[in-house]
Amino acid sequence: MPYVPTTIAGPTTIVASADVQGNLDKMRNYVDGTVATADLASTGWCESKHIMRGHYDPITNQHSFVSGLNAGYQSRGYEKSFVGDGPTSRGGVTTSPQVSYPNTGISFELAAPANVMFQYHAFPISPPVSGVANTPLTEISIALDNVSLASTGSWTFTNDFRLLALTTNGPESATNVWSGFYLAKNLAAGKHSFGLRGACEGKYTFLLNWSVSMEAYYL
Amino acid sequence: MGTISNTNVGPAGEIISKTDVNTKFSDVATATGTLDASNVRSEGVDRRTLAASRTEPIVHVDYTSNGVTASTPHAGQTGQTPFYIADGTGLTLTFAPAVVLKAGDLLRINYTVHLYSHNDSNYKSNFVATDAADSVGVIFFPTWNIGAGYVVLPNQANVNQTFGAPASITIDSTNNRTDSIAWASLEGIQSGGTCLPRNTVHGAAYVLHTGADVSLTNIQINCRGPIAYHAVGGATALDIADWTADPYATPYGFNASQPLSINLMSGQVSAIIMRGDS
Repeated sequence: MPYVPTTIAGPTTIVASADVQGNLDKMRNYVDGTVATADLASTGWCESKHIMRGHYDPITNQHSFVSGLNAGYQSRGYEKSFVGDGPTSRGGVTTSPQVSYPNTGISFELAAPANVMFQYHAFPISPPVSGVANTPLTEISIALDNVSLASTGSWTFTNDFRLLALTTNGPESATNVWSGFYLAKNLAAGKHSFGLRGACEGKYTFLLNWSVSMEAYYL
Repeated sequence: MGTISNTNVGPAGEIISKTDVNTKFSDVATATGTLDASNVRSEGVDRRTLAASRTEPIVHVDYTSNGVTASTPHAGQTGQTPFYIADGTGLTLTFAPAVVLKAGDLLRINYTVHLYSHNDSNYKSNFVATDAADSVGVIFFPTWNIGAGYVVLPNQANVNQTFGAPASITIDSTNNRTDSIAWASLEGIQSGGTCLPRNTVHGAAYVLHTGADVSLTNIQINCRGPIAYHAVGGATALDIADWTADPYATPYGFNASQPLSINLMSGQVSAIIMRGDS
């Protein structure tokens, strides 16, 4: 609804400062977020040139727009991201405690509720650990706000074809390239974190290269 | 254009009257009811300016996960018939009401499916020198319903049709494309009587809509396999093979009388429809 000032009244002609301040506050609040559809001309007054340009933050590689927020990270050629077997899947535990793959996270703040798309890819290398005779797995999944999302998981086996029967499986059998996504609908306004977490039943797993990205669309 | 009179409420140093102040605020109220382009400087609108009722989503999105955490068998597979991945809560997106795609709109579909295992425990990738087209796997692909049932996306290879074996599905880079298809190799690690690929494959399809409006009601993810990538003499195809005859006479562990059992696990699908110039 349009801006509606309070009529200043009083028994005298002296204007109360609180009344003036109240009306000014109303005006500020109106301009800063409560302009309603009916207050605006109904046709074609808003063109793309009227939209605020986005703001790019090179430190976090985030680009904020009127309608959303984008961010991403791609590993450099010399970078690797390690997860060990010790705190995760050593011994072939049934439910592996997951830890974060370093430098795969994005922290962001939504100005309003949004639909947010997360994507990742990663190429894992996972040497074996002596004495493990089964087919050790290593895994990865998206964690949003510190909660791992099972539906986003990818797996591969330890990259050691000594463990494989070469007569039936080639060495290429062991390595799956990882790629996945998650779409969070109506994610609340405020601060959030997104990252890759996983567990390793081999000696360790490192990512040779990886990328993560997020794109938010305000509702 | 909304304007406010610039008349002062009183000379400096004098006591102002409530009447003048009220008039001033009334001017403001009147002006804010007639805002138009003249009130807005270039690059002057941002999200804070507009109430939630004014903004509208620039995209339609939907997402679902089938919630499957244990592998689910799909027995009897010869690759001749595609099937919908109905495991768990399924991999279907439903738009109600339908989303009208206009020329210039971009539809982005993402999906992942986990190929857990299959029952050809001795499977290996057989490279035959006389026939390099020996890559065998299962495929996952999106279909959409724009009013005539589920069909493959525009210009995609005809992988949603049932074929008798042997048959070939033409593929190319024009109107029989495979870029919406996610290929999962059958290669994996032998474990007991099964082969474990444990491979999550990520498929994506981007459709820039052209032509007349269409009403999109559903998207779903289908599977078919085993299927062979076939390239001979420069032509390419996906073969619905007779697995006992050339060029697939190599000893695969599956054929018409002993079909493949495909075990799938978690799956998810999302769609983002971005407004173009409409």
